[in-house]
Amino acid sequence: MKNVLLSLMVLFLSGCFTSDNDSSETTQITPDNTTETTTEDAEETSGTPDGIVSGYNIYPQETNATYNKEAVIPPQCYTKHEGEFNPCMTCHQNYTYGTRPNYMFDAGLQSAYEFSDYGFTNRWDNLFEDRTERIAEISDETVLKYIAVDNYTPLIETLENDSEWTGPVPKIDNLHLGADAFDDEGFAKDGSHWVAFNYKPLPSTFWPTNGSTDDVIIRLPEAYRETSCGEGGYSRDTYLANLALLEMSFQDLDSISVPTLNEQNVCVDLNNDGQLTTAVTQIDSRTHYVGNAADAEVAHMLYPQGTEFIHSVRYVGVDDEGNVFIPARMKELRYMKKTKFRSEAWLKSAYGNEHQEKIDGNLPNYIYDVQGTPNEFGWDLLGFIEDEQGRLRAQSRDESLFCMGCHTTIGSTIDQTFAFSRKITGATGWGYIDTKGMQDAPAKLGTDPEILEYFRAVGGGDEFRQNTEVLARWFNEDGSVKEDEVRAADVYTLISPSRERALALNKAYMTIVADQDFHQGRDANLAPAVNVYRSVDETSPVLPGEKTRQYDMRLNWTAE
Amino acid sequence: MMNLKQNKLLQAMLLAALATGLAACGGEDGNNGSNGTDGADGTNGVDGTNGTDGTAGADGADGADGTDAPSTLNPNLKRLATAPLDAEFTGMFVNTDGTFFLNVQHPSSSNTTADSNGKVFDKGTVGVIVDADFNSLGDIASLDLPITTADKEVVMTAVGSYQVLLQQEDSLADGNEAGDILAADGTTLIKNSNDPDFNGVVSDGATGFYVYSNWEDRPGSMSRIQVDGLASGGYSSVTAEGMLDFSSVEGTWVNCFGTVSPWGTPLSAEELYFDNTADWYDSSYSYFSNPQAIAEYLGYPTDGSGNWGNPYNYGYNVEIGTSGTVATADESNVEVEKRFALGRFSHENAVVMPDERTVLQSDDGSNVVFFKFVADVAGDLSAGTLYAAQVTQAASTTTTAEAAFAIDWIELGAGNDTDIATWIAEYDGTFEDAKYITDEEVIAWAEAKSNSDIDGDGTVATSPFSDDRPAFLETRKAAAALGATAEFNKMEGVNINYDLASTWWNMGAADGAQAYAYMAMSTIGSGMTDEEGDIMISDDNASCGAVYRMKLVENGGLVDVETMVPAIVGGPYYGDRSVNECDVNNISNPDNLVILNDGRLLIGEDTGNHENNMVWVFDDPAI
Repeated sequence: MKNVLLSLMVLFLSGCFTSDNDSSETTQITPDNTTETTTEDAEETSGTPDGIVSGYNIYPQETNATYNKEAVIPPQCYTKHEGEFNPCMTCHQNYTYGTRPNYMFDAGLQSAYEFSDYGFTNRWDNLFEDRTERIAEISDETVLKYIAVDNYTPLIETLENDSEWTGPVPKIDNLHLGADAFDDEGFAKDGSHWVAFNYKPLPSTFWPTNGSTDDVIIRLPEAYRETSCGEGGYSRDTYLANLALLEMSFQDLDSISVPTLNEQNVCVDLNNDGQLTTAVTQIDSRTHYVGNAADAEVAHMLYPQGTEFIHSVRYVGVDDEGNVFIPARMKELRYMKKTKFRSEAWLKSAYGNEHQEKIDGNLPNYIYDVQGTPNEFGWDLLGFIEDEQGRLRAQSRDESLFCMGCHTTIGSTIDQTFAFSRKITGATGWGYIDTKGMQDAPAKLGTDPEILEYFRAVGGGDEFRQNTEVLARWFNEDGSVKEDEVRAADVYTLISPSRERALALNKAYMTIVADQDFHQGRDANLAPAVNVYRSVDETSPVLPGEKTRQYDMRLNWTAE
Repeated sequence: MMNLKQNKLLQAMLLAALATGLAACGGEDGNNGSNGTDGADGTNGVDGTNGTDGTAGADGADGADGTDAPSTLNPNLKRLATAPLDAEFTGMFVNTDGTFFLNVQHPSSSNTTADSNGKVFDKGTVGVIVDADFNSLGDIASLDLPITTADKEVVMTAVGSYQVLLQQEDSLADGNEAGDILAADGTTLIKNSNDPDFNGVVSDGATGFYVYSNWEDRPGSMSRIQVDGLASGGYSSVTAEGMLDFSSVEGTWVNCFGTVSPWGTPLSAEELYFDNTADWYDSSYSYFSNPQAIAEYLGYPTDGSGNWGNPYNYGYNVEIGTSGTVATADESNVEVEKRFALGRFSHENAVVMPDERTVLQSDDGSNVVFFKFVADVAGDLSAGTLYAAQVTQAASTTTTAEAAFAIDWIELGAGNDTDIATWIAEYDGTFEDAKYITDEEVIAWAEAKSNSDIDGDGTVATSPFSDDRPAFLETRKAAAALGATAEFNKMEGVNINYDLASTWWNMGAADGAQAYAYMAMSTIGSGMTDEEGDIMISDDNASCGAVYRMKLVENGGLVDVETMVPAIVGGPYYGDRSVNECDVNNISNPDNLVILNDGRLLIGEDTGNHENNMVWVFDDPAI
């Protein structure tokens, strides 16, 4: 215990110095390792190269000290927008009062760095670390072998066999295989009732070209999956109908397409044609869910209590031809469950409390629980992240606090989430994420394709304008966007990196895993960040009003 | 082996650093060394032995001087109660029957532990400590700090037991749910709050009591519960009646703390927290959704296309049960009046002195002002004169504990509710009209009133008003313009023990046993810790707050306070901790205050620096 404490304190202290003492950090965390080559460390510490043995320690090292009390402010918020570039719009928005349950109304954050006094210092030191040499020391073979290893299944096995673990076990058989774990309509093949959907990743942290691939899977509670007629029990038709009703409430739609379903299995005239049709492909909105959830109102833009999400954040898979895909190894496994349904009236008051806390300059305060931390807006959030051997372990307090920034009190989320509102609308959106051939649909308040708009607003392909490959591919030398090329490309092409970049991004992130200093940032930056403040002060420019933008992350998939 | 050596060295360095840290604390408090009772801090000596691992061992010995670094309980404090996780304690009120009302505001929704009565604290809760007589509390044994999750998630008390009276979303007899914020139409649900605050408990005219409880929100609300039949285990009869109707005063704004007046009316304080009225009409203002919610309350368009709430209708003390309606049987018939004459600012609470004319008033927020009101007629808060404090800090003091203040009262103006209401009405209008008193108008008024050139433009301006409206509608700005100290930070509860103060007063002031008012300053910050103005404090522990003692004095036939002296200071502050940044054996961010009949204080916390907020019994060693 003493060693653990000392190691972390050393880490803490090292934050005060420049980044050239990385090797000592590694030494302190895993005292038995040599500091010679990170490559060898990675191979050694991932157990056997072919797999991870379950039954390992999934609990984080905890101390009483905290590194960053404002870890809710992600690194992206320290970007130097120079009064010109606006990546902030993705998260910080006002919408018409009374039109959605999000009352955060934080569009002002597009313009000004309104942090607490403590928050004015950027503690995401990893952004400024020069990883060039360490990246160079990792071979392509090493990284490719590393990211192909399934670290998900061993986690699930460990959780299931850990008597101390009473928290959720986000289990889907073969989830590490990605699309192969699900059928064509997105239903998990293992019968766990998790459903994958196809969505456009939010700009731009979740673009593979910026370091990660990901998938998102939803599960509604049992009552929403069961029919109330016939012999009762599980009914895929009922489940599909309820998922569609939920989606309509998020998209403000009166009707929506569904995978062909049989109304007779639901015993509800879903398309209002006056009969119980056996093959329905379009259904109408309703005030209540159907099946055994018929008592539950469809609450506007709010998930039912008991809704769960799995979000796996993974390395960037790439083959010899440069095709980018979702590999087996997860950087993070994120899980959230809505444990309490909160009405709009309740949420409106809670957002008011948040405003008051901000006015008072109070630092964020969450009740950390290693088995899932409540965000106080109805959800419990649980994250697993790689240990130094690449095995997924539960996140520490600081690491968990990081989740709360985006999933609690920002203005643009719908019920504290992102991806579901970005699903391809209707029937074709059920199924594992696949951006190949996906059109760059405009955001709901926009007219031009979303990524094109984003490039224009941000002046780059990431919040820090440091993705040189995106700049080279999609921008002219004068900084303008190559509009025709962008319009002609699908989402996959726009957001995927080259093979070389993909490998480098993976290697960069491996160095963070080796350092286990996620509390200093988890962005796989290839070079020290330039367009990022070390600290913000009153001289930092504000973004003028004409540069602020209205943005609704929901997408208009039917736009031309 | 190399690593081991490195570790050893680092260990020594760290210990040295820690020891140095302790020594630094101790050094500042050197003159406490003569305090023999601090022998208990011998436990710090244990740290000293660790010091032998490195060269810093000698510094470890200095650690023993650190008397203000409580490794054991502050000897003047007893921990009375601890709140469930993520909650603050509010609504502290000692009833005439000896029970102690105490609310659990915004607890974590993840609290799952049921207390011995089966209650789970995952919602805002109105409750009361029963089975103990707080009107004659006697000596108590301090409650231990809760350590297990089960203990952290419930209300723990050193004496008696905690009876839950009402929780958020509980059904009320009027058909609403506890915490509902209804629009002026009485039916449209705007919000549901988990923030119960002030409890004003008054006789129901028979054997029971009406418990008026604030629900602080924008707009705000108030519930009423009838309790009766106090027995072992608490009140045997609890009737959750309903929410009060504030439509006669255009609704309320953040009903925060309060007191019950000597004539038996609850005074519910509107904590305004809206520093610049111009923002009321600025749709890009970060907290613009608040005036939008007022528009929703009033039935106006929330997009600003029509009428808009008048900002000067909010930010006052609301007197509950005027015209003798406080104990009326139907809570919907309870009459309320906003006491405009007491000024408009971010009222934490007002407390009426035993002369029934003087009212001390605290102002919550940053760079705020301490106010005093003197009613024209005893027992009538509708007319009087408003004053603001200009303070002088004790010479060369820098720490919170040393920095005492002398108070000079600056008169802002005299007025009455009827006149002020007509001034307020002049600012009715649409969003587009955007009527309000500008900063320039406040300055011009102040220049004319004080016959001085405040803005330094070489002239004394003419007042744009024929009255003193800035004193009552832009009270804090008016006070600052006239030279009051607008530097206080998070000024919270101000209170007296009415019986003690009354005895002192009725015995002929100085002939009676001395009585005191106390005031909580949640955090010593903003203008208090900068290097300019009337207050200049530099203190590493400022984040943990302090409570000030104010001796009641007689002045021209009225009760007055002329000094503000630190009575207890929180801390030490351990900034790197993930929780309990303020020492757990001392107060942190004090908020609600109640003074017991024996002069001891109950100090309630609203703090993010204690994992579990606490109520302390503080026996002020100075009196």
